Amino acid sequence: MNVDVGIRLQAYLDGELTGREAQQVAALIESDAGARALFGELQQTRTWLKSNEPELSLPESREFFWSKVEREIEPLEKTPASGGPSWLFFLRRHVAAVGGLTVAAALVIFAAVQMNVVPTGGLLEEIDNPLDEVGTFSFRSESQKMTLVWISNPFADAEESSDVTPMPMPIHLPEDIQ
Amino acid sequence: MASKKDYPSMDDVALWKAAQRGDMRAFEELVARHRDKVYARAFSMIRNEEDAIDLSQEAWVKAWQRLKQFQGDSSFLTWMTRIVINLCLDKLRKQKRERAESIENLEEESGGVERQMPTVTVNPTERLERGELRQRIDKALGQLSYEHRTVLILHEFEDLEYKEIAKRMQCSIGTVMSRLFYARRKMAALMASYKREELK
Repeated sequence: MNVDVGIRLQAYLDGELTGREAQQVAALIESDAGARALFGELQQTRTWLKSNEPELSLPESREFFWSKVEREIEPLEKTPASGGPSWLFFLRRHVAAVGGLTVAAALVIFAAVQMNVVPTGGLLEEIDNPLDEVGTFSFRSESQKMTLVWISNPFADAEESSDVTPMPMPIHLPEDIQ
Repeated sequence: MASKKDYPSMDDVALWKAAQRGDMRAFEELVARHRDKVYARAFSMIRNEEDAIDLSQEAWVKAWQRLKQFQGDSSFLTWMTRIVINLCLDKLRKQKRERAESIENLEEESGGVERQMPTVTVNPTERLERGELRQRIDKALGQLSYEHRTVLILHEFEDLEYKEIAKRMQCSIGTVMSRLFYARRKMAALMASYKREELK
């Protein structure tokens, strides 16, 4: 018997064929002894199985099995089956996530501002390093035990006159740091 | 409050509704009521006692987690059975991936020995007792490949249509039809081959 024919017989048996196809298979079963025998075998096997599913019992006591299940579900009790309204669960879950993100974003912005990465529109003043523009030179007199440091600010000088005249600023440094 | 309820006298619907509200005692009653059937389904598919116990336990934990999704479209037992079947299918797929090419697959592709099997004629005088018939069925199921066994269980015990079986087993309807055909033929041959003494 052709396997395809066998599979069609089975589909007929299981009620998976409709209309013309079902009629064709029914006619085949009527006319062909081989088809009839195979159909009978398939039908018998199905009948056996349908009404005789093996029965088994869990080989553990009710208490022991439940204790294992309970141990697993107790930590979950407060989430899926807690009985609280679902919108509250939704809020708890999502607001916490959004809140966390907001705090993280605020921290990033704050850090960026502190590092002067983000323009602040006058909130923070630019730090001038006067030493870049200041010329210094020193003079030391061993006989007088004195060190003279000259500091000149060209911008300050330029504001007063076009002549750049260094302004002497004597600083007497103690001997021990020289 | 909850402890005053008479759980054994409550029906499944009342129990799962109470369990949905967080009543663990109601859930315990459902476990006690259906644990054998859930275990039996796991064992019929896996054929290993220890794995079947683990899988049925896992199924009950999953059921608790998903209890809010259960709307009562089917009976609670049907819903539970579907959960354990899916767990078994996952495990069997994993086992199959871990195995090397099996002879079963080669047999299935070529039709195997079932292709040449003569038709089994049922002897009407042989009237088996229900218990003996069940023993034969159980033994024969254990000798089938997991693909053949699963398709039989889903079709004959779970009453699923070809389309639904194909979806669960992640294969085509044609494959389901072919597997079911060979599974039935092999089952018939095995059932006929057992002698009474072998089962005792």
